[in-house]
Amino acid sequence: MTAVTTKSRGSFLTWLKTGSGILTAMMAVIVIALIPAIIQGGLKLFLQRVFDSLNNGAVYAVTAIALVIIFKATTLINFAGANIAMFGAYVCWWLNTSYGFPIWIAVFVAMGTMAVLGSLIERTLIRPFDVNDHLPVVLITFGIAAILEAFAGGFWGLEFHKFPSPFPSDPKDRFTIAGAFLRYETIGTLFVMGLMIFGIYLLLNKTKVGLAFRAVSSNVESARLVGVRTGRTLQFGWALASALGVLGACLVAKQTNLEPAFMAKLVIFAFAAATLGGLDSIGGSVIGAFIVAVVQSMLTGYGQEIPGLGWLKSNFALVLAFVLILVVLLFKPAGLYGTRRIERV
Amino acid sequence: MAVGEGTHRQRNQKGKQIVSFSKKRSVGAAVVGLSLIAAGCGGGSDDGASTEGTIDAGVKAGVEDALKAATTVAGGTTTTAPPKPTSMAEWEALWAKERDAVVKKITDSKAAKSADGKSFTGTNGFVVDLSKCPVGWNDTEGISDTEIKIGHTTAQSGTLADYGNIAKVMQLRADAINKAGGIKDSTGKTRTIKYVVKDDGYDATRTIPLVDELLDSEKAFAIITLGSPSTMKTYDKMNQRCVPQPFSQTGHPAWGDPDGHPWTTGQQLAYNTEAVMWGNFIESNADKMAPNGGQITVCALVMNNDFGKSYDAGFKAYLAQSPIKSRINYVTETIEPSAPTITDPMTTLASKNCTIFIAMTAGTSCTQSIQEAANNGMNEKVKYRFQPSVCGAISFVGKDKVGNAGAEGWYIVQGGVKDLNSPGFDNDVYIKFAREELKANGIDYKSSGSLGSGYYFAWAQEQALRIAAALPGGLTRTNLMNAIRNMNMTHPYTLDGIKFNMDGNKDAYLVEGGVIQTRDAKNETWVDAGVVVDLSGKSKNCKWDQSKGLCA
Repeated sequence: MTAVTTKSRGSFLTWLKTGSGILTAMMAVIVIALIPAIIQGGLKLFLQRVFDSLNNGAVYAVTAIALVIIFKATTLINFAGANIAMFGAYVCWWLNTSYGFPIWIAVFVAMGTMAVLGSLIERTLIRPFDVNDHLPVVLITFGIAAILEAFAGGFWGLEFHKFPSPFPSDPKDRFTIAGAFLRYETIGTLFVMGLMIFGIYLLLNKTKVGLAFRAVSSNVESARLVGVRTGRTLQFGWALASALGVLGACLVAKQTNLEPAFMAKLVIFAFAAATLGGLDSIGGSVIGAFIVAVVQSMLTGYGQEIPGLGWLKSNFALVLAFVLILVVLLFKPAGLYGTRRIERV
Repeated sequence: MAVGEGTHRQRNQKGKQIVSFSKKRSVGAAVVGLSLIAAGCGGGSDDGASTEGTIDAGVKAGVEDALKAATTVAGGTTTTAPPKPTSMAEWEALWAKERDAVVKKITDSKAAKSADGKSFTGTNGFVVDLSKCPVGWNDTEGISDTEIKIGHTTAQSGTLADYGNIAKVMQLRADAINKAGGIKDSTGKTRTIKYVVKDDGYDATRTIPLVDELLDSEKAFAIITLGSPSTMKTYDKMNQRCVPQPFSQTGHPAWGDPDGHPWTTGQQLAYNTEAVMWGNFIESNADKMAPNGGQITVCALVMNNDFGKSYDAGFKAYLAQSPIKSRINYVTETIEPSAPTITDPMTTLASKNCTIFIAMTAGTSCTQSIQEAANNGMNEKVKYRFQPSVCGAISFVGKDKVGNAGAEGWYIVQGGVKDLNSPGFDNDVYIKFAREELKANGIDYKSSGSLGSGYYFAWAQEQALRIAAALPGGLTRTNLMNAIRNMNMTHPYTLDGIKFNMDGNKDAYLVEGGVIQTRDAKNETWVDAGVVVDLSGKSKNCKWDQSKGLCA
């Protein structure tokens, strides 16, 4: 009996150290701490916060996925990704408002355009550098980000613009559930996020180029030795990440409004999501995105109702998210679902 | 936050009942992430907490008097606005006449430096202790026989890069002035204006070294800063260095401190005065809002920087002395200037059964607050919803920004300034001039609400330089500050009935008026919901207490 108990306790502790275990424990702690405030606020407010979390989480997720694609391929953080996406959103808006392109056609054209630009960037500015020397490449991505921001401001002005929503977005376009509003836009964003994940899954697991991408992601040298054209594969990764980034930007721009720095503001949350979930895990980054969103909505929304925490207002959202990340990284340095790399020396 | 601040405002041109007052002087990735936090949270907000304090009694009394006067028209306290110039030539003639009057006033006051050069005694109590200026300080540094070099830090990148359009217009105006002959000096010299513009991205930590560069390398004659955080972080240094910091592009009350900070002035309606107007509106309508002595919940979305805190502190100060304070429950949510969305805090506020909502924010978040209020049901439930004066422009509240319903029914305290983009000003002579000048320079006037702000600031800068240059001794730093502190002119970009004046140390604010208006989305304009209140000379000077976040 004692042996069984010890075994159970051991396996529980083992599970607790997994991504799912840490995730469950975190959410449990948050929910327990907030139960009195949730009860006091009522079902309507709780549901509204859940819907807000879903909306924000979906937005962060689609942005985080683009970061993860590049990280998987190159193990570097692409600081230009956000502004490539921003530029694509401008292209989309421009095609829609100036040339009358239907919004979804404009989105796809912008995705294609930025995929081409992304692959060109990889070929001309990234590939010439040693893939193992990250510093120059990171600096280059910073430079590309600044250039794109300046070009966007130069071409389309610095004032923000209203972005056409790809979904019905009138204030009345919503379901009312127990008094809380679930907007069609939220459902649409979640749907597109689901499609995006499914599409990436198919691409990486059912196609030759996907196989090559996974091989390069796993080990560049080994992939090269077995005949994978690593340069072209990485170029494909940049193109894919750029296109997905544009899709994410087009989904979120309706809420943030379109201006040259709008993705730079958002990408901080996407980084948080990806770091939390695992920088090389697409699924993990999606889960991380929703955790960040839940922490934001719940903790800053209800936290201030807890005696002594009245200062915990919305401006602490990002700080809380990163505190959470630090805690996770102390126990799971690769993130909740990231790959722990072991290197021989 | 700042600028654009008082600069994007408009008002329809109908219904000109003006109340005027006589001037009573009264870990790996985590490390990357944390560095990004630092970048993202750079709101420049360390100037102290918003705490309760006392409000400016003169301002409060002025607002109350104005509203009483509006209900007793027969009593003879209302006047009509003087006829306006009908051409630019008439405007120029008027300004020339007004400049001459200012020059005469200053000359008659015998304003001058002391014989030992250790102090400057200006007009109506304006005194500068020059002995505290750094060794080697020069009253004419930054000007040559042919040029006036003026530094300008502004946002040309980042989330508030649109404010960079102000500098663009100021440059455009400088080019036009230079082409027309420049600034003529009483000493016989004629100088052109040269702006040296530096991009701080609306980040106060970047403003500091840029101001150092303008002081030490460029040796600018004067330096203009944009935004409350950036101006707050540099105004002690500018005053210690005895370098003019004129027409700061922000409405923070701290710029009205001629004793402690004689080298700094603002140009916009102070945010704490605006807060008094909100408070007075609530008091006046309390029984309508909550009959039978019911509770009134005021919900505010506050931007976490010097700008938002200034509003918050001013409003708390008003509430603290309000006779109905026991009926008012003040609830706030705070947002970072870099927040991409404001859904969460707006959900929180929507759950508080607000009677009134006030957005104490700037930039995109003004528009987002209107969009969120439409989405979360606040529009239907909260009748009194206020935008801040800095967000009145069509570029924030127009249908093409906030959606088809527009900002219908929202209220605003217009800070006394017109809107370049509003159809309501299509026949305004100066607005027409500005639009045509922009067009001639290949700029679409509708492309940015900040373009109009550029005209608002550029006009004042030009007039101040012309007055200072016409004074005995010609253009000097001390003459420039004395000129600004004694301006009394008709600004072509302010609403009718709003004075544009200072009076030495007795009146340290150029614009002290506004009007409560409500949005008519159908016609894309604001319509008066009250009378124009001009409080010229009524605001007390503000010795800013950094630790309390209040005027001492």
